[in-house]
Amino acid sequence: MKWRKPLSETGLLESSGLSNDLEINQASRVLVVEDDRTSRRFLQLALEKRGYAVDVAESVTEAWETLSALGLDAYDCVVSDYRMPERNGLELLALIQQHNAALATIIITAESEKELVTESLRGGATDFLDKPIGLENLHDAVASAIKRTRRQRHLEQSDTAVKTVGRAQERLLGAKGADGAMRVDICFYPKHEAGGDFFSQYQLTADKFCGLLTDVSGHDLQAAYTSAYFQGVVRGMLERAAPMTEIFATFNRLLLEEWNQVDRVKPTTADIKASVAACAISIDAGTQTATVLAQGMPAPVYWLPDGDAKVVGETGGFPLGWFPDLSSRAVVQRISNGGAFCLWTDGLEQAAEKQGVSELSLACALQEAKGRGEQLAEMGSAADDVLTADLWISPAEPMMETFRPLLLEQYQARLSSEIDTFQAYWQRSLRMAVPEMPATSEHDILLAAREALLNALKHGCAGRPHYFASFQIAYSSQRRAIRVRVSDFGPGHQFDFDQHPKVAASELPEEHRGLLLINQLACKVDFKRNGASVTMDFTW
Amino acid sequence: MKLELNTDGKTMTLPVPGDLISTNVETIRHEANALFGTDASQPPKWNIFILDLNTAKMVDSAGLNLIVSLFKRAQQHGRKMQILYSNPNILRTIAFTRLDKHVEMVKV
Repeated sequence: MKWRKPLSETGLLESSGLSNDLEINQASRVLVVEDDRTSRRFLQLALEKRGYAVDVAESVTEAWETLSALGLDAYDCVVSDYRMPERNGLELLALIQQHNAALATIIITAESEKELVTESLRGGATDFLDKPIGLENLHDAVASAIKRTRRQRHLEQSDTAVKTVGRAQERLLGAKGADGAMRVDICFYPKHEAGGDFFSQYQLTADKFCGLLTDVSGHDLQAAYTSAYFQGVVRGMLERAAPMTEIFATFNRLLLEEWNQVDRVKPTTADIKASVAACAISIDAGTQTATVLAQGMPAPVYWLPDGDAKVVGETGGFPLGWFPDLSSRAVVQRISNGGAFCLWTDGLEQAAEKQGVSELSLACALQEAKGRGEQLAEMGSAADDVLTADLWISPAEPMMETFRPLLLEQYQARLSSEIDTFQAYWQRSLRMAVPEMPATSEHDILLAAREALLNALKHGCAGRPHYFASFQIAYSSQRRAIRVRVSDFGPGHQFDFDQHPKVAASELPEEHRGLLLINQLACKVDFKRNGASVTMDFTW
Repeated sequence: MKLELNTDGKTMTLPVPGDLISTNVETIRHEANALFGTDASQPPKWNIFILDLNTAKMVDSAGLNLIVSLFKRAQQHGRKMQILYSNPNILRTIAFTRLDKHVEMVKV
């Protein structure tokens, strides 16, 4: 090893007139690897004259010892001849690539070694220099190589920081409140190292809890920081008993005025740097109510243990940080019968759309996979982070016994001709959530559901095209059962299940076989409101 | 869909592409009308009408109603009707409404 002080430290540079580049170059260390003494000395002096700290080595072995002694991070560039005794420059390049790929390496080749250029670049070399080496070419190549090394190292540091934040986020995701009285089941499929998808829960008093799902724009450190900042604002204001509407309004103002600096008179989305979609569910066990506020976020679904489900609150709207006036209003839901809420970020909607299934069926599949200790393979193609949370009202409830919704739809009578499309959607959703379902059960469920919906659209909606029927499919993994509910707002229809099958078989009327089928296909059928609402159970 | 009269003229087959359901039942009914002809007093030349549901996985109530209608028309002319099927759910559905007592079900 030959250690030499840079010329700047020897005082030789004072008369060189190259002081403009020195501030940058003085901080840079270059290793020159060249077996020819004259060439080595030329390179060393040329680079030292530009202010670089230059170390030299005669061989690959010596170069590697030099790099290892100070550490590869101590160098900003390596300039190595290709043709040297024992090992060549490409072998040194391979070593550097293996241990510190960010360190830029320039390979020097002879005129007759042009084919090496391609090989060098493929091996990770930053640049190459032909012999004889011109001073200008040398300086340009080294300067750009050093820039590349620094850029790469900066990216690596950022990447490490982002990953650290991401790991911290995953640890904190859904961290329990004071005594964890509210049970929350979370599924998180991050597509990025850090981001703004987050669920947090707060216990406010002995019987008041709050769950908050947030989705910050972007997938970087700023998004993670914005999310953390929002969580802090929420926690602080909740501790001062502020209602969620006030918390959202406050953070909206903070984003607008401090982060996005939007002109209040002429707000535009052009200057939006940060925005937060959020959904808060505040549960009051004393009054047996849940207050839901969603802003720019899908509204949550609330379901009872028997699978009856509804969307609570308003879906959509714009996120916090866009406009001064918030669009959403809080909605109060009674929760005296227990049950659960399911919340999700828009990443789930995109993933479900890609798979052609309902969000609820995908959320169920995620929870089922989590229960098996697996990751859902279908999520590999998801384009965005996906976060879902099941928030259980009664933690002691035997959750596996309950029916959780897979489909929650409303169909207008005018769309009855689209029944095949609807049925294909149900089928894909069922297969997503319950892949182990036997084919016969699937057939019976789809056929009975089809019959019930067509009956509701045709008769229940009484030919009025804009009337609609509600349609639900729910699943209980413990019972291995599917429950289908179809309701319309019509008066219903009297049907004699004792007599009609006999008449249908003997007199062969050319109508009214739908209800017969329903009664045969389902294990259990329950008609309400004179048949305007039918619930069908299927087990396997 | 193409009506197929076999070489000895004894059977007429109406193949159904896929399921027999509400969204295609009118198309199939139209084909069947051609099969039975417009003159109700003229008996068909074939003896057995075959509804080929070999590729079907589902028959819904509209499909069942069509089967009843076709069976009645065949019966009016003193002809028999067969249904070819391969998916067991087709037989189950038809048996639920006891149509298998009237129509011969043939598994292929």
